This record gives sequence, C-alpha cells and structure tokens, in this order.
Amino acid sequence: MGGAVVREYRYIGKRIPPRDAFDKVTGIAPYVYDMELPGMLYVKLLQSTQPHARIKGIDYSKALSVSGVVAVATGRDFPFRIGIYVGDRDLLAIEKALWVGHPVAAVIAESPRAAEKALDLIEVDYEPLQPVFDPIEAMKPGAPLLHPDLGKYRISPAFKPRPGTNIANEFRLSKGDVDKGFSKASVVVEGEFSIPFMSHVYMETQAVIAHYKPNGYVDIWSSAQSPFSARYLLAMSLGMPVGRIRIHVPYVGGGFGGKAGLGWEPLAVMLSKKAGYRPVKLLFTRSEQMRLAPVVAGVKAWGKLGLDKEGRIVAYQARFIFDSGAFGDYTVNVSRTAGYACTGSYEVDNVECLSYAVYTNKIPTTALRGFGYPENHWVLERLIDMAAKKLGMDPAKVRSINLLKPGKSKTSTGARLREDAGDPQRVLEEVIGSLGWGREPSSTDKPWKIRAKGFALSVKGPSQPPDASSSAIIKFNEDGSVDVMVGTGNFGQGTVTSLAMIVAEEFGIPLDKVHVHEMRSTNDSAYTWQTVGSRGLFTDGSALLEAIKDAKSKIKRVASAVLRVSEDHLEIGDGKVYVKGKPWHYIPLERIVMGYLYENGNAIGGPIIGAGRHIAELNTFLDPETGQGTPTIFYTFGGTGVEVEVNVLTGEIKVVKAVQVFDIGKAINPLLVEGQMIGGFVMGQSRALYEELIFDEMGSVANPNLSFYYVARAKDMPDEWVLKIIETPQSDGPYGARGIGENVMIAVAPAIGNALYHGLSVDVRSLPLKAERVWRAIREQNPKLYKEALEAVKRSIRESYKKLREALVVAR
Amino acid sequence: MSSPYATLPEFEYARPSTLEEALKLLAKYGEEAKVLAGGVGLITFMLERLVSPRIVIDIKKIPELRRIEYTEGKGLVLGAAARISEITRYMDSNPRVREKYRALYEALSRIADLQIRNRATIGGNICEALPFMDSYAPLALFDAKLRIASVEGERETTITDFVKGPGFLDLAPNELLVSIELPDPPRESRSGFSKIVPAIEYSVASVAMLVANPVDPRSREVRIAVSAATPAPIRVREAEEVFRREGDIVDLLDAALDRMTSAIKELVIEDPYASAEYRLEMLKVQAYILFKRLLDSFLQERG
Repeated sequence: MGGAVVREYRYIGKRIPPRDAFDKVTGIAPYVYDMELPGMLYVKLLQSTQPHARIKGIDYSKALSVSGVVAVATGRDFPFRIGIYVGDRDLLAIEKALWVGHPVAAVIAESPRAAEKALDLIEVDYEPLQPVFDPIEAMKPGAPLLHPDLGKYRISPAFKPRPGTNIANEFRLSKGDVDKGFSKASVVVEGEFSIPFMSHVYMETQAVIAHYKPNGYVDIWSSAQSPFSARYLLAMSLGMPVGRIRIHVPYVGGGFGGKAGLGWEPLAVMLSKKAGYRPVKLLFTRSEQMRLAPVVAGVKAWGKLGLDKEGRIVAYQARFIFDSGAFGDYTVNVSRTAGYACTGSYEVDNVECLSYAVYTNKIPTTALRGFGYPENHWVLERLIDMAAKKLGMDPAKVRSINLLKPGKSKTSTGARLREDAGDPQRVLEEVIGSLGWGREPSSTDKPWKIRAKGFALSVKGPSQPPDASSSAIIKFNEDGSVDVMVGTGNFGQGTVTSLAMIVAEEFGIPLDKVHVHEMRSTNDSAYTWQTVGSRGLFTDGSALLEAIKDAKSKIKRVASAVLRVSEDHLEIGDGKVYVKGKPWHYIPLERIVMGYLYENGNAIGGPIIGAGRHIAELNTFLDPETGQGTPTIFYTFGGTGVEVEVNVLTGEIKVVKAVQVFDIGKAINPLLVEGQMIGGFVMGQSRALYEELIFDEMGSVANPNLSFYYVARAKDMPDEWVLKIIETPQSDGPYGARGIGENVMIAVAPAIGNALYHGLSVDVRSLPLKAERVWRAIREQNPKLYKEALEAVKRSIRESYKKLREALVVAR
Repeated sequence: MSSPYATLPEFEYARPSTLEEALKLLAKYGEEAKVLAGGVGLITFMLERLVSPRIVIDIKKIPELRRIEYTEGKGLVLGAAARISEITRYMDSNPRVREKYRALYEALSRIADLQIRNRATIGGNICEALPFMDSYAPLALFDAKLRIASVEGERETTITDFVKGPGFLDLAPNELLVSIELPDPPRESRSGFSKIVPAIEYSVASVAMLVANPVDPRSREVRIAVSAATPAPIRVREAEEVFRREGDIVDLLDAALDRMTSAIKELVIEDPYASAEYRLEMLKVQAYILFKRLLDSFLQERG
C-alpha cells in the first residue's frame, strides 16, 4: 500500500471504557422500571387459562369494588388489531383467547396491591376451542384456525400470509436449478434440525408508562429499543397524528431485539385514556415476561446440501418453519430473513429456501439478536461438516472453496457483494489457526472427559426496509463542549461511547467535552428508524459524521472572516479552528461556536448546530417470487471456534476455549468490540447448551422463571479466549466500520455441534445440547465410547485401590 | 419459582425472641401460620399464592436457633435458622469439622449463589420439601437427628422419616424444626457429594457417599444416600449391605451399585427436566466417580 497515509487518531481505535459504566455500577442509571409519576396508576393483566377459547363473558364487578381500583378493561374496549408487519395483534383478547397467558383483562388501580387483589376476583367464562401447538400440525388443512380473519388484516407489502390457514408468512428464495445442481453432486447430506422457543432474558423486563393527556398529546416512557418506530406504529395503530405522540426512553436494561418495533405502548396509552387521562404504568414480573410478552420462536428446519467431488456446493435446499405462537409480530420478518440469507457466507448458484411463520396456540414471538441467521446457520454450518466428512475433505477446505468473494460473488439474493465487504478467507484462516484446527485437542486427566474442537463461519447484515434512515444533530455549548443528539438506543451495546469518540476525534476536543444524554425522546432526539440489526454505529455514525462536517463548515465560515483566509485554508482540530500550515493563527472553538465577538463589541455567526443524515443506498425490495434483490447495507463476516470438554458419562459440556474472529472494517473502540465478542459468545453458548422454554400439555410455559430456565452464568464462561478483529474498511462506513452486535453469537451453536460431531462422532441436530440429550446421543450413536469411559472409571478405581493398599503396607 | 404477582398477600408478622414464644404462636395459629427463616422458599411461595398465611413467624432472632456448634464425641449441632453461609464459614475456620462432614460441606457450599446462601438457612432448606434440596442426601448420610418441638414437648426424627415427598413433611402445624444434630461419623472416614444440574438451577440426581477403612474388610463401612432423583431422600442401605460381604471393596462395588439401582428404580422421578432413565444412570455414574474421589482422598492424605 505504497503512498497510503495512515491517519493517527487520538480516540478512534482506542480502548475507552463505556460511558454508561459509571451510571450502571453506581445505580444512578434511570430505567422506566424505576420511574414514578405524580398521580400514576398501576396496571395488572389477567392471563387466559385456556390455550384457545371463545370468551363468552367477563364478570369484573367484584374487581371494581376493590378499594383503589379505578377501571377494568377487556378486549371489547379495544376492538382493533395492530402489528408491525401483519396486523394480527390485539391489545387484550378480542373474542378469543389464543394462548395460556393471553391478556384478557386489565385492572387499573391506585396501587399494585389493589390491582393484584382485584385481578383474582375477575371471572371469565370460556368456551374451549380445539388448540393447535405444533407448527407442522398447524399448517395442515383442517387445523384449528387462530386467525380466521387473516385475509382482512392490514399486511405490510413485503409479507405474504395465507388466509384460511395458520400461515402468517411464506417466503421463497429461488435461484438457479436445485434439481440440476443435485444431479452433479458427489455427496448429498440432508437432515432435520430444531431450535426451541427461548426467552430474551434481558435484565429489565418490559416496562411502560403512558400518559394520554386531555389536550390530545400522549407522553410515553418506555423500555423500548426504537422510540421512533414505536411512535410511528403506535400512531398508525391508534389513528393518531405522529407528532402528538412523544416517546421517551431512558437507559434500557437490555433488548436483544425483544424490545424492537412496537411493544406494550398501545395498551398503556388506551388504558391511560380509560383511566380518565391519568398516567398508568405497566410492567412485568419475570414470570409475566415469559408467559405473555413476546419470546423467541421455535424452529423446525430441514436442509439438503450437495457437494461435487472438488468440494464445491452444487445445490442447497432448506425449509424453515418458525413457530410464531399466537401473533406474527417480528417473527414473520425473522423467518423471511432466515430464508433470504440461507446460504450464509457461501456462493451457491442453485438454491431453494422456503420459510414459514406459523400460528400456534402458544406465547407470541418476536425478534432476537441474530434475526434468522442463528437459525439458518444452525442448519447450513452443520451440513457443511457432514458433507465434508462424507467426501473425506477438511471442512475448512470445503468452506474456503465456497466462500463469497467480495467484488466477484453474488449472494443468495443475487446481489453482487461489494469489493470492500471484508475478507472472509482471512476470517476462516484466523479461526482455524487460532483454534489449532487439525491438531489433536489436549487430553484431560479424567478418562471419562473428552476434548473436541469445532468451528463455524457466520455472516450478518441488518434486515431493514430499503429506505431505513438515520439522522444526527450536534450543537455547541458556551465552553466549546458538544451536545450530541442521536436516536440510537442505549441498552448495552456501547454505540453511544463510540459516537462520542467520533465527535471528540473530529474536533480534537477532550472526550469529556462530548455529551450524549441517556434519554431518547422522539421530540428532541434526532430520528433513527430503529436500533436493531447491528446498524447503530454504521447508520447513526454516518449521519453523525455528516453533522460534524456541517458544523465544521459553519465554523469555518465565521472563522474565515475573523482570520481573513478562505474557508478552504482552514482546519479544525485540537479544539481550535486554525490556518493550514500556520497553526499559530487560530481561534479556540469556545470563542467562535456561540458567535464571535470582536474587541469593539461587533459580533458575527451565532450558535453552531450541525445536522446530518444517512439512508440506505441502492437497496431494493426483494422479488416476491424469487426473493432476489439487495436487502442490506453491509454484511459482516465472522467465525467462531471452540474447544469443548465433554463428560461422556453425563453428557455435560464445558467450553474450554473460545475463538472469535470478525472483520468489522474498523474497530472504533476495540474494548467494546471485544465486549460484544465475549458477551455474544456467552449468549450463543447459553442458547446452544441450556436455554429452552418448556411447554405443558396446555401449551403453557412450564418454566417461566430463571430457576428452571437456565441462562449461562459467570461460572459457565470458557477458560480461554482468543478474540481477533480484522479491519478491512468499508468505504461508506464511519472510518470503515461495519456492525458487530449480532454476528458474535451466530456461529457458536454450530461450532459446538460440529465439535461433538468431529470429536465424539455424535451428531445432535436439536438445540439445546442439554446434558441428557448429549448423553443419549452418545449412548445411541457411539455406545462404545460410553462403555469405554465407564470401564476407564472402574479401572482407575482399581488402580487407586491398589495404590492405597500398597501405601498402607509401606506404612506398616 | 415464578409469579405473575409483584406484591405479597397481606399477612401479620411476628418476630419472637424466644423459642417458647415461637411455639406458643404456632400453637395459637396452627395452619394459619408459616415460619420464616431465610425466606428463600416462603417468600416465593407467597408471591405465587401457593401459601397465604395469616401470620408469618420470623424465627431469625431466636439465638438458640442460630446455633452452630461442634463438640468432640457428640457431633455437630445446627440450629434450624443457621444460615448456609454461616455453616460453611464455620467449617472453613474448623477444617477438622469440615473434613468430618465433607459431604454436607460440599452440598451446602454449592447451593445457588453466595447471596442466596447468605439468606437461606439449613432448617429452611430442609422444610422446603422439594426433592432437590441439597442438604437431604448428606443429612441422610450422617444419620442426622432432627429435633422437633411444640408446646406439648419435643421429639426426634430422621431426615428420611421427616421428608415424605414433594411438599410433604412429618410436621404438625404446631411444631417447629429446632435443630439438626449430626453425630460423629466413623473415624478416618471420607465423604463427598455430587449432583447433576443440567440446564436448571437444581439437581436432578444427587449422591452423597461415605467410605471408612476401605482396605480392611472387617472394619470398612460404605454409606450411600441419594436425593433429587427421587421424591424424598433415601439412604440406600440395600447397597451399603453389599459391602459387608466377603472380598475386596472394589470387587463389591459393581454389585452394590446394581443393588442401589434395583432398590430405587421404581421411585425415580420423570419430568421435562430429566428422564427417569437419565436420573437413575446419573446416580450410578456419580457414585462410581465419587467412590474414586474418596479412595484418592485417602491416598492424598498419605502422600
């Protein structure tokens, strides 16, 4: 790269601790959960006890007589449906209850205690209907219908529900000719895979305070990822002018996609109105969170992969059935994304991927970090290893042959991959190098514990509408410090820290002179479509750079007059505006950003405000028949390697080493990127090994708590970490950066699955890889291994005994 | 444990400072009273409305119930309201006591997390009456005596007689578990505890084992107790008896553990978190590994 100028940065690329750390550690960080307003009322929701039932009547007269109860609402009060893509959601059950947990009534009271007391006094008369819990059963003709009026619902154009069935969305990606492709295959592998329902388990459960005011304005404080999109959808749903709704979002205790789109704001708003325009607070206990707030869809999938004798993928076919639960919400788009991105990091000419979101009488589902990619990777990245083994080829080699080549290859949707999309080949090499792939795993001192290695690659791009946009505003203060107004949320990712670093870098001012308020308000934060899809830094960062440029040019215009040089000859840095080549001719920023005052009292300029924006460029809708088009603004390539220790006798898996490699273009703050790599791995590991919502015979969540729904703890973390950041800059990203937030967890499950496959010759295709499931697989698929391990224990008992006896003889 | 409720049902609260006072309250309120020690179980049960006592009797301030005391020859006495972390800390500062009751120490020190162990009590753990309570197998192993009191007097029982099954205790509404006494284990014995916690917070199969004089067929002793896999804790005496036969201890192990399996097979729990087949096999597998660990611990002592 002869001649390239390497820019020296003061902040960019530096390991700077996240800004929210102090607030969170000291407990001063505000959350909606903790907020109280004067005159505020409390809401409690009555959950359906039936999975599918006509509501013949609700008697809440006794509830109304409880002291402190202000009102009780039922589905009759709100006879309309809402939803981000498919308008299938009710605020409270309308006519029918669709799952055990479906809110059928809401009590509004002066205290939580009064609300809960009243809740127990409501009587609901149900007429049970035939429920359906299995999505494959639900797809069959004649299955009980959850939404007989599906054909009348409001549907967003990119989605295709099938009225008269339980299919909330159907998506088809079709490219080339799969039959022809498979006919050229030397090996074909296929299999069924499954992923259970899961909970996001963000620390702060859903919380919303709504105040419908008599003047027609609505103020909402919500634990939401995306205040602007929530506001827009809310306005659409309630037929209100967008500008009359103000959504305020303080710190959010985790989101992981579960707080994207529209949450419980519409219900809270309507209840505030019903309660006589008083503010109401709706918040969930963990149990409510896991029984009635949207969770994550279970998936039943099938895949078929063909390789020719050189290891080239000649055809790929897959089908994903997302068990959407009672509402489609985000899951229709998650399933669509799983379909259109089904070929992962590889170039495949012949593809057919079908995906469905299907209604069942279970808790509704929504987005989760990864958004369809963890699901499609669990199929494809496992099949590649199976096919490679069958062909007798190293799975790393198979991947290398088939990887997408930036600038040359076309992705699954037929879009040519941009030249500067990253370096997937190097990602692969770093993963296998750091893992020591090809070298035997280390042995353990316990003969019943076996170590094994596996890896998988991953790719992730934001799934967003082609016109998704962002903006940023910066304004200067008297001391030359800067207030930054962005819309991107503040729920643990660290984007805000990186944005502050960008401002400090560009003006050459100390980082502590950049202020980003923790509160997002739709009326005074800059607009951003949503904080989802790993897009925050890319889109809002780009908008911020434009805002900085705008502010700089305004500063230079004033400085040009004061310093008497052309604007082109001015530079801004070190907190000054100065003449290029003669930096001793300068004005400190604080003397110019509120207007420049001459000695005689004349003044010019005025307070400096910069504004910037970003919109996806050259994205398209996808073809409704073939799924072809350009759906993303970037793809981030990555890979995960693991070394696991498996207790052959119990099936327990311990991850001893984790390798995470991602080409993110530029790490604005490597400390935060590594935080994402570690956190994402642990979340991926938790989903791979432990997490599963269990349903009883009524389709009711049997483990709505963190005792029986286990989430990885500190003790479960890997012993050793290898974290590698590759920086192949993307020209339209801020400093070349791409998103990282989701990809970090996508390849973890397939990497662990592949480790079992290679190291123990055990093939488990259902998540989670719980101890008993692994134990059973070992006993069924590799009984010799189990027998040998048990024999080894018995042998070592005899050895210990022999030594003990000898020791005793010597002692005597 | 989970609840849609964020508030507790209304109740009266009493905090007696003597045992006598507590027993009087229990006699007065009977089934309408619930005893609060650490609250780990009671508060969650109340949140779930599984119980809605008229009065909650807090026994934390009764000094006698907070006792933790080891006396040579007599054994270890634990007051019912002694906290789990207090007990493990006591054992850490008295390593000889810790090694004597190693299986209990291992079980208690792995209950939940430190915050919970700082609240939870040994009596509460026992009275929660769920199969996976961690104190059960070790208490059965050490022949613990449970002292139960009421205004009418006192009686003594064992953990296996006291815990009848999920939610069922041999405890009358006017009675209170006062203390747990663990007699001295056999001299030069080693013990240990093992559990399987597969993707839930609780064990699905727990084993406690004690071995004394392993190389001497005349004086050797092996004790085995199980819990979590079965509705109530079991001291598996059928398996222990096998070690009284002729022959080396290692030659009898397979037969003993087969005996354990056949003795409890019909009782093993099957639920969505673990099959009966897995639980049963895990008892056996853990027993083998635990046995090896105990033999090795004799060796380490000598090496």
